[in-house]
Order: sequence, then structure tokens, then C-alpha cells
Amino acid sequence: MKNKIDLETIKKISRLSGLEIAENDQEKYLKQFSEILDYFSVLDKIDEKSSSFDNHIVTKLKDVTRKDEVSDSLLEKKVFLNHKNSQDKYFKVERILYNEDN
Amino acid sequence: MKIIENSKINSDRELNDLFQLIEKEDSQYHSFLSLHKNYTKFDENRRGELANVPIAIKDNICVKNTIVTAGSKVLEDYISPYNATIIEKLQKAGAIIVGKTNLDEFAMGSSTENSAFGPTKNPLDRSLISGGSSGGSAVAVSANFVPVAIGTDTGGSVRHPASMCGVIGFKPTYGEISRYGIIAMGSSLDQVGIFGNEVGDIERVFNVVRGSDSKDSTSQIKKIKKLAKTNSSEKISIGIPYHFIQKGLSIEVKEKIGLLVQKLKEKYEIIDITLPHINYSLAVYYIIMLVEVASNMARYDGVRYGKNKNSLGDEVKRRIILGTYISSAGYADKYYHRAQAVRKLILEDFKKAYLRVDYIMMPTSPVLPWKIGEKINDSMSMYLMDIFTVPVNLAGLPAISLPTKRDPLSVGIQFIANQFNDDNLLNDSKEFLEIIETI
Repeated sequence: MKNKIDLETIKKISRLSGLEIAENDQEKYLKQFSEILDYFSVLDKIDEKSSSFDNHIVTKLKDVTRKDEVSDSLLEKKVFLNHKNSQDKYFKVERILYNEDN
Repeated sequence: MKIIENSKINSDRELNDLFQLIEKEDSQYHSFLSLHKNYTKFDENRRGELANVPIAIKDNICVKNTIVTAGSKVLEDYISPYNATIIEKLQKAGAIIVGKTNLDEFAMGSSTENSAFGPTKNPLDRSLISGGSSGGSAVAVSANFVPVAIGTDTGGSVRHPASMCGVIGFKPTYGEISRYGIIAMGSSLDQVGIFGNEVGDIERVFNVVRGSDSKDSTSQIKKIKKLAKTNSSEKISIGIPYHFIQKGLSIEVKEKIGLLVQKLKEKYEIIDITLPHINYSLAVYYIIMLVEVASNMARYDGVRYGKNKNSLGDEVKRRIILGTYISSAGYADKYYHRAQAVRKLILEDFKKAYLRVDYIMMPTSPVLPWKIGEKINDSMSMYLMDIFTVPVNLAGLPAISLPTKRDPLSVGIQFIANQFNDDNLLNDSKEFLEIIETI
């Protein structure tokens, strides 16, 4: 498998992950990533095809669920404990929608 | 050397003295990120198994109404609204939580140099790394602040710093200890681990914190009392995968292993075993871990708590980007799904080996602790340090690192048991340690 990762891909993936990476850091990451991906090519030697697993590989557990019962939800003061900008019991976030004028 | 029996706090004064000692001495090591002076007290009425025993907790474990940073600027002001299950259990047993210890940011690293708050130094030689990611907890025990400490181990993060700092580090079978309230890194790999100076102390803490928990769907209990003897003789049999450990050992580690095997042969059966797929462990581990990390780190959007991901350090950002890449459409089959398939093969190799041997032995680390700053700019070189610890997390096995004499040349020797043989491993480790301490 070719392990080519280019600058464009790093920029795209960073954006998808919600990360801002400075220009000079992107170059540094490119080199490091190429090294790491090259290391992963050791798996090329093995011809194991993945099959779908219907249980957890390590624990062999399957479909662990809780009873479908209503229980108390988190107290409001706990929910907002670490959010400084709450307003009328809502989380206040940065603007994400703009119309054409602004 | 502190052990539980000689470290119990008997008065307010003693507790005060302990905090003062740490405040004075820890500036040399930086093992603690915060001390819980205002959140804990001496109480003579405590009766539990760990009544008034001082303990240090890695700062990726939630203690209610106190700050938990995960070693990161992202959570530097985050107050946990709840206790991790293990904290509930420790407090119920009467333990005194002295404070939270330093770690690589979000537990990602092998040297505690990735902490946003500065590295932790090795008490055996302060120019050297303490190991990681649970460096702070290892040092809290090694520097004689507390007799036992709690860490987490995803790819060796308890066993590795234990080896670097000359203390004992134990990681149980995956699922033995609840992960509820442990800030997640790689959910199919993470497990709480325990540091101590005596195996008996680690057993005591383990018996307090272990147990299935409805809040952790991967926790389970299957106690195996007696080791099923795998061979006809009465001797314990120890398998060593020479084909795997031969390359890359430093001279000092190679020498100690050689001396140890000679001594072990006097008492146990030593068998050269083959684990056919173990050479793929590091690649398999990193692929699976990176994908799980990218998934677990998505929650840090800075909305409900903390700052957003841009306040993260380089190593964590690196892992998020790589993890996102290798799990994306077009690459997931190549990397992630293939790694999962190979993980199953590695697990099966171990199961087969345990039909022949009781325990498997390997060095914990291929090298002795390195200088602070030496590997920080070379990711791949750092990742290779986990080569002997990661296979254990892939297979969810219990393992312990036992130290040779506690000095800068201390080498950690790792014993690995089959799943759910934790009690046997701990019990027999007492004997193993006696022998190891003589080499």
C-alpha cells in the first residue's frame, strides 16, 4: 500500500478534526506522518482480511445494554458547572450560521 | 521505602506534615499537579481496608468537585461533577487522596514530557525521564511520598514508568477495574493500574478497586482461583519469546535478563516460546489507538466544558489528525480493519502459548531511562519504546513490572499472565520479585 500523505490532505483532515495547524507545523507533521505511516506498512506482509466482528475482540462481550427504564438525568447545576457562558439554561456558542449579507 | 503498614496517617499533624513534605520536596521532581489539602482530612473513625492510607491519583481520573486536567490546557480549569467508580471505592475504603499526579497530555506519551505543565523528573537521576504516561504516580511512590498510587495503562503507561523509576507497576486484565470516570484515551485498551513498593500492597488496593460496574459496559469479573497447571511437573513454567526480544535490547537490559534467566532456571521451567504475530503488535496498537483517540477527543469542542482542541499540545494534535486519516473512507480497510484482524491473531497466539506455560516474561522496556529532551522530537523513536508493553493491551492480559535494585540502572522485568489470572500473577510475583532483587 502506498503511504503517501500530502500537505493538502493534512490541511483537509485538520479542518475536519476542528484543529488549526500553523503553516510551518504542517510541514513538520508531514515528515512525521510519512515516517509513521511507513512503519505501518509492516502489516502489508500479512494477508489477513478483516471480517466483520459481532462481538468485542478482547472481552467477547456482545450487546451490553441497560434496562430501558427512565431514570433521573443530570442536575442542571452540574451540567453548567464548567460552562461560563450559559444563558437561560442554554449553552451559548459562537455563531455558525450567516446569511448572504454578513 | 514506604509501604501501607508504615505509611498510615494517625493524626491531623501527620497529614499536615505529609503535605508539607511534598510541597518542599516535590519541586525537584514535579510529580504532583495539585494537592488535595482542602478536600481531605484525617478521620480516626475510618475503618475500611485502606483507612487513612495516603494515595496519589493520576490526573486523568475524576474526583468530584476538584479540578482534573488530564495534563492539558484544555481542562486546566475543569471541575469534575462526579467521582470515578474507583474513587468512590477508594474513599469508601477510607483512603486519603493526597493529590493528582502529572501525566503526558491525555495520557499520550512515554515520558511525561508531553504534559502541558512541564515534565516529571526521575528521582533516581533527575536528568532522566520518569517514563510515561503515568510518570507522576510512579514518582510519587519512587520518591517516597506515598506507598501506593493509581495510574492508567493503555500501551504500557503504568508498567513503563514503574520500570523507569524502580517501583512495581501492575495492570490487571482488561475489564477488571471500571473505566467509569477515567478520561478516555483508547477505550478498548485503557485500564487502571497500580504502583507500589510491595506486591502485597498492590493486591490490597486492587481488591478494593476491582469489580464489575454497570456504568462500564466492558467491565466483567471472572475470578480464576487456582492456576491450571499446564505441565506435568509441579514447577511454574515461564515462557520467553526470545525471537521477539532479542533485537533492540540495550546492553544493560540484555545483561540483566541473562542473569535473571539463570536464576529462574534454578526454580522454574523456562521455555522458549514463539508468538508468531507479535512483531506486528506495535503497528496494530498504534493504528487502533490512533483511531480510538481521534474518536474520544472529538468531545473537546469547548462548548460544554474546557477549551477547544486548539489548546492541545503537538503530540495529541498529531494523533488526532493521523487517527482521523487512517479511519477515513478509503483508508479504514487498509489500516483499521486490517489491524483489528491482526489483533485477533495476536490474542490467539497468547491463548495458545498459555496452554504450554503459566506466565510469559519479557523486559518492560528495551532500554534504561533516557535523558529529558532526548526523544521528544522523534515520535517514531518514542513509539518504539512501547514495543514490549503494547501486545499486553492488545490481548487484554494482566501484567506486572517488577524492578531490580532501585538505582539508576534499575531494569523492569515484565510477567504476563492469561486473562483473569490476576490473583495468581500477583501471588507468584512475590516469589519472582525476591529472585529479581538479587540480580
